[in-house]
Amino acid sequence: MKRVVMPGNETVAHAAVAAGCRFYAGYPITPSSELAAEMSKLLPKVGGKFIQMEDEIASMAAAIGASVAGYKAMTATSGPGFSLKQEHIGLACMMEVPVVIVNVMRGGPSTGLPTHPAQGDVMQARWGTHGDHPIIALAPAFPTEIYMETIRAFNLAERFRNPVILLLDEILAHTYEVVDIPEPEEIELVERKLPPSGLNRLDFYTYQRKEGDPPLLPNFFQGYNFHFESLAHDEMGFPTTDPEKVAYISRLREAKIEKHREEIWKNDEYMLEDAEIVIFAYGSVARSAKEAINRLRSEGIKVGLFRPITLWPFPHQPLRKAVGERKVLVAEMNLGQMVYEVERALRRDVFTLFKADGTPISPVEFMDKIKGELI
Amino acid sequence: MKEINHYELRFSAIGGQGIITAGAMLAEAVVQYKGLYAIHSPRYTAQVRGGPTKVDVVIDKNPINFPKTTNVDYYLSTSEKSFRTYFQDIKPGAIIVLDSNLVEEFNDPKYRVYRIPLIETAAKEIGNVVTVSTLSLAVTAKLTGLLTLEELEDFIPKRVPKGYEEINLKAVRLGYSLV
Repeated sequence: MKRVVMPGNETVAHAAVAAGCRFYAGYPITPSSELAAEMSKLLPKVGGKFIQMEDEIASMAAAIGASVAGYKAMTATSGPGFSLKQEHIGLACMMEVPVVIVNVMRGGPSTGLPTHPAQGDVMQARWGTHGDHPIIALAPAFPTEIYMETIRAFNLAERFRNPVILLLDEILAHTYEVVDIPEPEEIELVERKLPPSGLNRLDFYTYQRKEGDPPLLPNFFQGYNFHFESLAHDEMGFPTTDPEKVAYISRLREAKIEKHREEIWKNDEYMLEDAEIVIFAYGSVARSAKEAINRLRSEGIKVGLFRPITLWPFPHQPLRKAVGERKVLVAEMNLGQMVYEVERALRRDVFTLFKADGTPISPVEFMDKIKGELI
Repeated sequence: MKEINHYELRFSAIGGQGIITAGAMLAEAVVQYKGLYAIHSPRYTAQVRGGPTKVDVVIDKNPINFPKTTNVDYYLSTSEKSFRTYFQDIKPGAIIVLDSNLVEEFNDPKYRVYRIPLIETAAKEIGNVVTVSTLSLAVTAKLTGLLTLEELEDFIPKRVPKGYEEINLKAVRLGYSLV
């Protein structure tokens, strides 16, 4: 293990390279630019490729192209750029191409608050691209966790052949913190599964698999005929409007995530056991919540934290089980987004603490809210 | 060294003066030599050079949850405008270090105020204005007791650009003796 002081943006870059990322395409945007800068230094040293594209749309397309060619690929952006990437995120979902997209959340909408934090893109991470599609989104909160979750983002992308979105915010991206970097041999990496060699190439169908399995897409030049298609397609990858075939492939796409959601879910529970009040928070807001919990407990007020690290698929069942009948306070740096999922999971109203003015929710604000309204 | 549970510092300046670097070096050094946890978060304005900037440093014996300052124990500034702009959440009793040539009189009995010609000392006595980063770090280390002279003498030559080791060591020793 090596202890270093780095900002979140650089931590993601170092972790991506450790995870085997060898292609980065991006267009700089505050507060994510340092991530691109760091990738441009790191990738050439390991034989990887860095390219600054003409815009975010092209960056997303380039990352997908590199992934199809067999490379672990990443792009990074922030709010407005994340909006631009949505079309091609849908393409990657449809073609089932692994790729990691980092979105450093800043105040929105539009160009909003470029240098200030927000959590206003969490629903966009789920539903930003049109149509029904499977997605995985991770929201780490602590420096070493940012490193480990970046690696997990690549592992999940490769394992499930799907885009994975890594959500940071301006605070996590820009604050220099202590990161404990594990030795390479301590890191578990997932490599994409390729179809076995030697199959009759006419018998190999690009998207054929058991329901619940990710597809085994060959890399370019592996010797198989295959077809990538953004239109609704059949198991061979060719366009179809046959309702039965369309429904079948759509079900296969959803099932590969749905069936394995327990493997994808990851939550942190802090002082939850004897808590009378449960805070639901993620990303940097959860850190403020932890500080508030420590201070409230020293005053004898029993508060705990449920912190999803995997935001999508949303952990409905784990949340329901962890919270039970206790009072819940949902805190977000937006005007109320994940709260809809929390209420859906719990099937009841909850208390809320929302803030979208470009400043973090402080521990004191948590304490005032809880003392004023929850006890 | 005194026992540290939690300590917050702020350095404010005009972009380009090198004060952000002092904060960054302080955070790195206490992590390396004291086994403490530290964060530092720089804030820049739209101007790369010439606008008010600051860096906040939080030091704690445990991993840091809330990565922002709420109660600043130590505030160093080399610019009148920046000093006023970022004069927030300063704890009563805090140590305040001001560049005596660049910040106007500030006599508030609530604080322990030191006036030192930081930039002039770096430029004239040490011989290179860029050493103001190291000079400010040494002054801070001495006043707060966060780092010893020996620790700085070990840290600085490895941290500064090649060829600037000696002049920065001079800044360390001078800074440590100034206060």
